[in-house]
Amino acid sequence: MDARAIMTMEMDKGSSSQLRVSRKARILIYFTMILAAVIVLLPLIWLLFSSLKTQEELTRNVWSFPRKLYIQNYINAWTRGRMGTYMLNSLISTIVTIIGTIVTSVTLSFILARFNFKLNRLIFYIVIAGMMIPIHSAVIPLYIMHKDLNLQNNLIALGITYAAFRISPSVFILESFMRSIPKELEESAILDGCGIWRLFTTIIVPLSKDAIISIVILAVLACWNELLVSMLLISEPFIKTLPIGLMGFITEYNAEYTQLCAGLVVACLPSLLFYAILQEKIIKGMTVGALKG
Amino acid sequence: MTSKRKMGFLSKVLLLVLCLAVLAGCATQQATDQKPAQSTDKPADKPQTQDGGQTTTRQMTIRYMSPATAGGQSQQYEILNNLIAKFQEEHPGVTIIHDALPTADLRTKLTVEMASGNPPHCSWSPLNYAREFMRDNAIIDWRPVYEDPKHKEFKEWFDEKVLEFSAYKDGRLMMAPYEASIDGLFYNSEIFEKYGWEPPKTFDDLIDLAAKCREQGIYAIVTGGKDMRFAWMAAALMARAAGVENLKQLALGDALTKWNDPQYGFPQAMQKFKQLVDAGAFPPGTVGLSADEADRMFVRGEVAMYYEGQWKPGNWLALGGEEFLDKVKRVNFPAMPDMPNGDPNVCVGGTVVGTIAASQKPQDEIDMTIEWVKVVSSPAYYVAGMEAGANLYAGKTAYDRNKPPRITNDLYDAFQAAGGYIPSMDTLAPPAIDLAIKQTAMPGILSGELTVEEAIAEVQKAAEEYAKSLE
Repeated sequence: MDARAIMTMEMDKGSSSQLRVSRKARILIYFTMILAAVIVLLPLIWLLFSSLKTQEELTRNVWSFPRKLYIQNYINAWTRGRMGTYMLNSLISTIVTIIGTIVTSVTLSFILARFNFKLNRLIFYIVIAGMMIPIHSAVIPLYIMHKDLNLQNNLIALGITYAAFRISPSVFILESFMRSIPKELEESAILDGCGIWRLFTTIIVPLSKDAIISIVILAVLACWNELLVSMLLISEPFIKTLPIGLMGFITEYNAEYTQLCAGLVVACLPSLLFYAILQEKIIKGMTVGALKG
Repeated sequence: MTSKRKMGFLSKVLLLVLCLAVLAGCATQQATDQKPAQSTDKPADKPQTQDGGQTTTRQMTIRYMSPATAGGQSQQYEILNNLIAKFQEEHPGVTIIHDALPTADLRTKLTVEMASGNPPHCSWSPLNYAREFMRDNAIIDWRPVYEDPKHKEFKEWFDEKVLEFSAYKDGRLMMAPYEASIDGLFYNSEIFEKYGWEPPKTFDDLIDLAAKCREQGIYAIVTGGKDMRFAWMAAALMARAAGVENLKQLALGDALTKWNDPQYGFPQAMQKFKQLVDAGAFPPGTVGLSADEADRMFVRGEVAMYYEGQWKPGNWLALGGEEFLDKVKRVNFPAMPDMPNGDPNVCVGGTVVGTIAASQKPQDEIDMTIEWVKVVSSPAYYVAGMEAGANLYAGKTAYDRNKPPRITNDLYDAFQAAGGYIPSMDTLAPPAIDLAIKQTAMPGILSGELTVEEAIAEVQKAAEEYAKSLE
């Protein structure tokens, strides 16, 4: 009996879909998983260790454990490097981005996915064509537009700009997800007297929760780390965002790597918290559409 | 069905809006080109004097861009903040916005803002960027400012040697000096004393030294290849191989498309570089090293020498402390006696970066900008930093020589005493040619991917394309 047949039998046996694997295979799987975990965690551990060293210690040995925990890097990054202010600014622009992305993308995707009208596909393709425009190619018109509208040094305007760039990929994900929701649900709701708005808020949006979370994740990652547009649109020192602040530790004249590492550890914390709180939803969201079809 | 019709109508409206947006985006902007009207004593918007005699100005905001960031140059940043507060106190109604960015990002932002017609009032700028802006009349000419008795401080602080550096081809001055730049072949004196070596005087000495270093399991010289730190060495090789005038002709003059012509010395400079590479002077993987990694190798004693500019000791101080910096000494880049046209004494540096001021601003704002630039060009801004070993002032000033590391005093003396300067390649050559040298040619030779001839051909191609773009 070959391995495939045994596996099929094992699968058929109980209601559980768990595979029974041999001891050797299990060791191999654990080894691979531990290796993957080490590869993922090592840079983070290195970052943490480096943030607790002095510059001289880091120079002498990049890989060593810190001999003494040098907390001053964190204090300097927070006070002199203004990490607190920059984080708050990044948070404001991120929240605006999330709200802007959800409001525009969810409503547009709903219309495009659930209503058949003549130019539906044309509009969809025009919207997703935006994915092919890199933000870098639009910086000069974007800069002129913000200047003319007097929107420079404005975190809300920055967040709206980020949200505008998130519409295309978000509609791309959401539209296909909403399209896969069975039509029967919608028809029964309408037969029971449900209006369009109620259909949208009580049926479509709750059913699209996983896809919405995945677009939120992508939006957060994109704007939390974005440097170029925020650098161009923000000039005032107390409105700058986190990536600009982090870049400021490394200049041609001086490189404060240990303080940068401290800043990076602090900058990672919101993402780690975000992941810890929404872990389950994130995994679900990231696998949206994986089993479609 | 009604909702379907509504949706159809809405989609048509949406499409129309999209089309209009595209058309609006494609529309040309009204031309803003105009020759700058510049005069330092133009009467427009003169400051008003109140009863108490205090001079007030209309409300205005002056935006200043500099590389003194809060994280990277915290001491300079603090000094600047104090100067801003003082200036605002002395000039009620004036607000200075300090936009601090690392130099690479600052160049990007400056370029975008200039292209968008909304430059900062004043900004740190390298020489070659200033040249492009001056060509477009986007920045003011500093010559009338220097000549104006109202601003006599500039002449007191800086001698003509420093000022002439930022001269455009028609004599206009592009920038106010920001800091002094001078190159150095820095060496770890502890290593040299241990093995009884002498710092190289000629290029052949340097080649011999490379072999001696290899015998001791170390390397002669290192640089941050990943960060394209070849610009200073390119200028030094050119100056020693063919002299300052030939280099200027290639980068700025009639010989712009003659990088492959031996008369102007670039082929010889690349040959010399190849000799250095073949002698095993550079550690393996130099092309992929960041400037910081290269600094750390030097501090750890894995390389004996480091060739670059005056800002390096500040980095080594942070990485290796005072103990290491005490070991660092400086000599000029070695001469090439076999190159009859070469200049054996010229230093790479000068005032290769400076402060530019935008010309297309209201006259009273330009006047206030000049006042502010005077502050950031003054000893008040530099001396504290210089005493901490963080920078070098381009002007003449008395400072406490016991405070900074010895190497800072050496660099200051070398800068003041230098017979002449040539800017580094990244501030002299047009950006496209500079990139071809430091991003393609020299890393290509170093990694073995390009022969010397191929490397020269790459630079020649970039120069021809640049010349074509000017036509």
